[in-house]
Amino acid sequence: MTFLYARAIAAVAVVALAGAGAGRCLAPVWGRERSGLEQVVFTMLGGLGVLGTLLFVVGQFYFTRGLLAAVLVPAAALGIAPAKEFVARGWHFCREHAGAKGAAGVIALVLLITAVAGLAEVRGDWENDAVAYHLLGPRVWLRDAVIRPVPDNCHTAFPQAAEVLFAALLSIGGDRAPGVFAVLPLGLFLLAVAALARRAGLGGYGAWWCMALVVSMPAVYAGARTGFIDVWYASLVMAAVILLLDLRWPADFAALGLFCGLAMGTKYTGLLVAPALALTSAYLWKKSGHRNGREFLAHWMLAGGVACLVASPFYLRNWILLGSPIYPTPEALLRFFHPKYLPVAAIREFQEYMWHRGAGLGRGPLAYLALPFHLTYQTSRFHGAGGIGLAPLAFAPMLLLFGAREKSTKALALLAWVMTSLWFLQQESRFLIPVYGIAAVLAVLGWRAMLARTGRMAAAMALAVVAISLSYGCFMIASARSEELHRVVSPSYAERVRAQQIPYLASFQYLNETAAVRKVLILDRSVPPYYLERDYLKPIGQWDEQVLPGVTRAVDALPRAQELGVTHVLDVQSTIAPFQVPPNFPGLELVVDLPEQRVYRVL
Amino acid sequence: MRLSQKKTRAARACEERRPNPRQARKVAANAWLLLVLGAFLWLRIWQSESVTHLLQSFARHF
Repeated sequence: MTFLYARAIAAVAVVALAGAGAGRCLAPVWGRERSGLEQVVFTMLGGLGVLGTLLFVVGQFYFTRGLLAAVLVPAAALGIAPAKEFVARGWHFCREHAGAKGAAGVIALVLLITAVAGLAEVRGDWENDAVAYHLLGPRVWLRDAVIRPVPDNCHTAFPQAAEVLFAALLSIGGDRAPGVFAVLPLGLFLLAVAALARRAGLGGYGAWWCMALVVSMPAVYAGARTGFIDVWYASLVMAAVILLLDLRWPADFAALGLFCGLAMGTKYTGLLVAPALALTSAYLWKKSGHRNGREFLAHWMLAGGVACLVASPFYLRNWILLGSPIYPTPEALLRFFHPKYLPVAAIREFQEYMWHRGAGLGRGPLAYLALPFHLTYQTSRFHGAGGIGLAPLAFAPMLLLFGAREKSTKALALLAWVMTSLWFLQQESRFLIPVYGIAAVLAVLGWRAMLARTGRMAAAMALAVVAISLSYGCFMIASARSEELHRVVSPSYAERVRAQQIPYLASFQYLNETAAVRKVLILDRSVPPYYLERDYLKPIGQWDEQVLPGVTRAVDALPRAQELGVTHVLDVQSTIAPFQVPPNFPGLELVVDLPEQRVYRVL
Repeated sequence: MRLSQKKTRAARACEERRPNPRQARKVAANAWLLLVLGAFLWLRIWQSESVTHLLQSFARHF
């Protein structure tokens, strides 16, 4: 067990160093005159993002452990010097602002929980996105030695800059490494929030409290768990927002475009961020006294060009291989694109599912106006994400009450409003994480403004607001991860509950350990192939993808098993379907017969 | 002279009767914080299932 953990931690260190090394080469884009904190944020985020994109492009042709080593080892060697510098700067920052001990304690606690819980084995069924697709793609790519969307799960065709890093981690560090890696994006997101706070006029002390408020938001933490990429995406958006507040030279716009492109290469929601940033940038441009609209447009064309260039590999690959740059294709685009594997009915069903899932906070104008209230108190309608604490609702309005004069504060408020309005169309809590970061900065700005102009009673109530936000958030986070922590500290408990947490474990163990197994036919669409270490075929995918032409029911593939190279068939009785193999089906021998799971050998 | 002094006094009195915007903001800030904390206590603590359960079991004992 110790070796497993040490290997995972070492892999995360190598990838982090490689990110620093790649980021070092990009430093001229954002310039050397930026603060130490911004240098760390841009170097690490830019480096890891570009590394992921580069590996994705090369991986379209060749994706092996040798290739990963050839890219990561030199990059990690380049990253040793900047990493040393970052650690020294971080230590200096901590010593310089040692007053915020409470905030530092909260941050350390949540990061520690993340790191330790991340050492637990990834488990769960098809409802866990990490198992369903975030880690499934990387596993299949490593097995096939090439990066291709998995045809039975359309979500593996989402932009994959972050998942490529998961593949590198799985290859070097084993299946525990992506869990430990979760600390890095979360830490970088916190540093990005701190850098934004400094840029918005807060001191080091305020920046610490911004980080503490953000790290204790269960809604933010939901996007930082093992295999999730939402906090990583939010960090990239946050880097773009930091640049937005200080756009002076064309190079600044190019850097902004780089981070927008990396966000677009990480999640489709990144496509909506660039227009929101452009609108806020127009406001700042006007407020700064600029009158030359043509110059503004030229700068934004540069930013847009860089963003499109950086994100293009993900969208072009989908267009070439799957028939549509955005996959699953939105219904409105079906007139122009004809996606493979996904029938129109499946696309409609998927969109309907997303629409219903995002209706938790209501759709009408009243629901829109009540959003701040609902985001704070109605946490149960967040798909269990757990809310954002009281501080944004309590303190951000203080900026209106006591007058926010700085244009950066107004710009952040405008950006948060535009992004929230766009998000209102599809209310998945995790997609709003960048706004939660901005909201924390606005909250601390409001808190500061309020303390300067009010008395002891308000200060005491403000303290209560912060204490409730931090303690409630930490309690929610710790209780959400308590089971994983238990598994890490007690291997006997982990072994005892393994069969309950991994669906059809006995069948997977048989298939993984039997030498004769070469290709498995999975009949039930709810079976998560993440646990299978062999090549497989799933004729009907999780979202009703049709992998084989003309096969609309999985059982129709059975007569063609030999022709398809299948050696074994996995048949289960799941929550959505009974056993599918008819009794005494010719050419099959039952080799595993357990309640709810059967394995057949193809004769 | 005496008349101008009277005017000044009157103006001052008038000003005192006018609401002080600074004081009003202070009151508004306190009220807002009280509202946010009160709503939290009501919605997240008082109405939470665990607290209801606790109160019910407490009532059953007595």
